[in-house]
Amino acid sequence: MRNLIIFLRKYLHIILFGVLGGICIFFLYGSSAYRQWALKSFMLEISSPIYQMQNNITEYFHLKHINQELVEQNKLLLDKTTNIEIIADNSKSIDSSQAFLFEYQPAKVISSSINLQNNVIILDKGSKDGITPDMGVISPQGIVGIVKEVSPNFSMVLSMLSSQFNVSVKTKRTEVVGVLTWDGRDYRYMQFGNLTNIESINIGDTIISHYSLMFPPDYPIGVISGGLKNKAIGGYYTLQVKLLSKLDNLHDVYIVKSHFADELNALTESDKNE
Amino acid sequence: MNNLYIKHIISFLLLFLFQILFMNKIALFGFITPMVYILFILSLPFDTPKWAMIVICFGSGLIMDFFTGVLGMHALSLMTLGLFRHLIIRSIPFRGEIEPHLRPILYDMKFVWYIQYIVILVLIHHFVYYVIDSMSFSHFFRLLGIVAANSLCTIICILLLQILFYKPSKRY
Repeated sequence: MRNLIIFLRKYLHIILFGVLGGICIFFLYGSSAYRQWALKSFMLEISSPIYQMQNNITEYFHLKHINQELVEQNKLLLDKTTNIEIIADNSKSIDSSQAFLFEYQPAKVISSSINLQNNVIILDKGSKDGITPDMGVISPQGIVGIVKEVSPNFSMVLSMLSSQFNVSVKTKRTEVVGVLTWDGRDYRYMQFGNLTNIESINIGDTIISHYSLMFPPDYPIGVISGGLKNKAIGGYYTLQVKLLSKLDNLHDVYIVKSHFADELNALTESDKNE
Repeated sequence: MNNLYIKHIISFLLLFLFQILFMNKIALFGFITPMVYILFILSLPFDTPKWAMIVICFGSGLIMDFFTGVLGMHALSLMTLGLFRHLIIRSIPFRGEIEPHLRPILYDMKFVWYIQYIVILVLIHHFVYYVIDSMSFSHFFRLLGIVAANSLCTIICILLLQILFYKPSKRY
């Protein structure tokens, strides 16, 4: 006890400096968007290597599972390529511009959470690899989130499991368009809302991505799992969707680089200005 | 003793008013703004406790921040100044003994000692301040240039104020 008091007397000024300095940084953080970005990027660069170390160790325990996933994805891709070959044989003039719309950058998940209201995922690719904010992130099973912050070596992804996340989606079979959001309750389910007519939708219908610059078109997201008997609130129905990607067990994801995103954004911007 | 407190409070008020009303309006060549108010911290007595130093720096820095717009900038850089002050005082050699009635002002100390004291601390303060301002080291040499130019101006202003308005401390 006496030692503690002596210690406190000796280093009280440094402790005070730490506490009050923390308050200052808190104030500075709120002062401007640029400072917010700079501090966040700094924190990401500091914290990520520690998570990466942890990930390097725990990755071995999941190797079997990852292998299985990759085999499944391989099978899926093989099916697709054979389909394309058949189409190419049938019609000699195929639109080749579609093929280069998106590019995929593989990335490893360093840390992720599912227990918060605004969950984030940290990936080991950053601005050095050409990642910029607002790029989509997908896993082999389904979409995962959107890149929010980028530092030189790491990036922070806003997970689908976040109150800020919404994306335009449609059902695969009947093409009913709606918005996918999360109510913050269960990490396995999301809400497919803004629907005016649900007569053509059945349980088990697949939900796929709709027009968007972030995700490849028609990429699977989830399966309708309930809510068909719910009453409409304000004229809109909301359905439960079971997610296909296992957000509690993410290892390898792909960051979607859209080659025409800048161009299309510029186009819509110029439209707004007029 | 009470007299001494009043003296410090008056010098605090005058220096801060001077800084807020005149100095903050100056932008020489667009980027030089002398920060003479740190003279208040620099001329506090030698035997100010270290923790009190930090608290005074934080408080007065926040007051300055209220007038300049960005909370935390002046406070954090002033606190760094307060943290380093006693280290610098101990490390600059002084001939003879520092008597208890003396304060770190120009007329009490030797000129050479005082110049070293002011230059080191003003450089530390300005460096921290402009690093917080730019939040990156990507234009490092430009940053150093700004720090050097501003420090030079601040030091000249502080020396002028010392010569004009400060008197040697009396023995009690």
